[in-house]
This record gives sequence, C-alpha cells and structure tokens, in this order.
Amino acid sequence: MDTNDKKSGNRKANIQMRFSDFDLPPMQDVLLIGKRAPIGPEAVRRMVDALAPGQYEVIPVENSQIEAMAVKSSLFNWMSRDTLINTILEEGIKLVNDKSIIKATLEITISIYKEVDV
Amino acid sequence: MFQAKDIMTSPVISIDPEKSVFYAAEYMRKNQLGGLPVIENGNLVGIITSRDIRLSHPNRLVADAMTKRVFSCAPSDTVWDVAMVMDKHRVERLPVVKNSTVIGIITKTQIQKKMGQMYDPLTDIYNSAYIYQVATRLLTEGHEICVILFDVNNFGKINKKFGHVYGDSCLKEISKVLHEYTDDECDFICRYGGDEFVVVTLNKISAAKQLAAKIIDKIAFHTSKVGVPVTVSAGICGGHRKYARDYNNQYKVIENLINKASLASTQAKTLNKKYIIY
Repeated sequence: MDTNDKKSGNRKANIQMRFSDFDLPPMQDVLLIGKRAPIGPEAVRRMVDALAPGQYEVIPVENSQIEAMAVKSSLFNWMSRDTLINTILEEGIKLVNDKSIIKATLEITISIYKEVDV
Repeated sequence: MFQAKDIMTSPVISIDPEKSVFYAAEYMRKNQLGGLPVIENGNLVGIITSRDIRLSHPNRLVADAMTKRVFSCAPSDTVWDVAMVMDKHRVERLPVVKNSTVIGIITKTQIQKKMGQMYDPLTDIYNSAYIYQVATRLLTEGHEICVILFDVNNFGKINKKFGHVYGDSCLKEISKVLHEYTDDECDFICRYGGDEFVVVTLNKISAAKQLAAKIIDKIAFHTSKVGVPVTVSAGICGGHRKYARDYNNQYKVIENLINKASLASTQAKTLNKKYIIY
C-alpha cells in the first residue's frame, strides 16, 4: 500500500443535511441596527426593497446605540405606530450595543372581552 | 482668479453609495484623498471622509457611512465665501456644484493657501486681493460701499532720510490705528500696496468722511507718540455705486472706486488737504 492509499483509507467524512425554508428577507418582524453595526439602515432598506418590497419600513432612531429599526409594516395595523416603536425601543435598548444587529419576533395578541344581551 | 472655479480640483474623483466602506478606504488611499463626494445618478447625495471611515464598519455601504448633510458652493463663489462656509460648518472640503452637477472640489488646504496670498505679513492685515474679495461680496449682497484710500505723505523721503526699517515701522503703526478705529462689522481694511491703505466701508459718504478725518488725526497722533511721526492724506469715493451680479462688472466697479479714491488722495496731497471726496 503506498502513502496515498494510506491517507485515503484513514479519512472519512460525515455529511449531515438539514433543509428548511429560507426566510425572505432573512429577518423577522423587527431588526434593530446599531450605530456601528456591519450593515446600516440604507443597506437594510435596499435589501428589503429588493427581497420584500413594501413589507418593511426602515425608521431612523435618535439614540446613542441604535441608528435605526426595520419594522414589518403590517404590525402597524395592530396598534399605533408610536406605541409599537416605543415599546420595541424600550426593550431593545437593553439588549443592543452600537455594534450589534438584533432581530426580533413580535407576537401581538388582541384580547377582547365583550358582554352582549341574550 | 479668486473664485471657486479658479482653485477647485477638477475633474472630481467620486464614489458610488453602494460601494463598501472598505472599498472607499482603499480608493481614497490609492488616490491619496481625505474625502470623496458620493454621487448617485449624477446627484451629490453625500460626502465620505476619512473620519467617517474610521467610525464605520468596513462592511457598511458608503450610503450608511457618509455624511448626508453636504455643504457645497457655486463656481462663482469667492474664496472668501468658501472659507466662511468651511469655517461655519467646520468642513474640510467643499464640492463645487453647477446645475446640480459636481464639477469640482475645494479643500481647506487650497483655501488656506489662497487666503495666505491675501495676507500682508509686515502690517499683519490683508492685502489688496482681500479687499477685492470683500468688496465683491458686499456688492453681490446689494450693499452700497465707500472706498477710502490713505496715502502716507512723503513716504519716499521718509524712507530715504530714516531708512526702510523706520518706514516699515510707520506702516505697522498705521495698520494698528486702522485696526483700532474701524468697526469690524462694517469696515474692511487692507494694505493696498507700498504706503497705501484702503478701507472699504458700508458707511454712507458722510460717515466715511468722518471716519477718514478721525483716522488721519489718530495716525498723526499715534505715530508721533511712538516716535515714528507721519501724516496721511485720503481720497474718498463711492456711496452711489450699487451693482450687478456679474463678477466682471463688480470687479470693474471696485477698480474704478479704488482708482478714483487714489486720484482724490493725490489731489488732497497736492492741495495740502487732509482728504478729498471724489
């Protein structure tokens, strides 16, 4: 057995494959963009315009850490714009530094209790 | 000669907003530039400087790292105007824009060099180039101006009799008096050349006359107090020449005013008067 045969005989590779749907765009409901993050709001805007046109809104933020946030536009149908933005920011600020990009999922449930005459 | 178009660098090396900060940094290094105008579809959308690059992740788009609020100037703006914009907004470079297109760029170094050419180191005040700049700006803004030209009496004889060092001391003292007795807000002074000093003032001719008389007296008093006694004569002209937005016309108007003030000062000397109004 020559040297090459020895090498190929001793090396094996295992391949594991997982298939799943690719998120388009590769973000969820909200993306918080740090001021010094590797991608900025303009890059995010161009990305969502190309991959999910009209579905996200990129909103500039006045904050020392966060430069902007991208929010799925349909979320604004559930509650007022200011309430939603302020709520996301209030919690997001605790997790973000100026170099990070954080994605977030939002589940909004509306609870209604009504009494009606029978 | 002193307009933005005369000193700007052209053509301009610019960058696309979709390039990366890393690319911009390399591009600037290769071209030995400290900043690049960012141009998209022919329009100036920002400027990226080495400072922006230092503060941004190299992966970012230029669009996300650039300074979006861009100050610019027109090709016909004077060096003085450009210097004021740079100073006010604390910027190091200013794109020159004509019909929404960037046709050149001016750096602070270029402006400082040009401004240095307008400075008279002996008297520590500006020279004639400056006064043309200022007067052009005042005329552009629609002001009426008066020119007062002061000429030292018998300066040639003073130089011959006491030497040029003495003559230089006289000139320095005159510039001090001009500094002290003029108002920075409305009077602009320069050493026009040799022993001639010019004040361009926003005052009406009657107030200009009073200013000239006061300065003549103060020069005589102050120079004799410090041991270099000299007297000056003055010629005054202006008050009725507001003008046109055309740079060449303005330049001619200023030349004309200064020339007439000069002739008036000569006449004042001949007639042994303190000043003559042309």
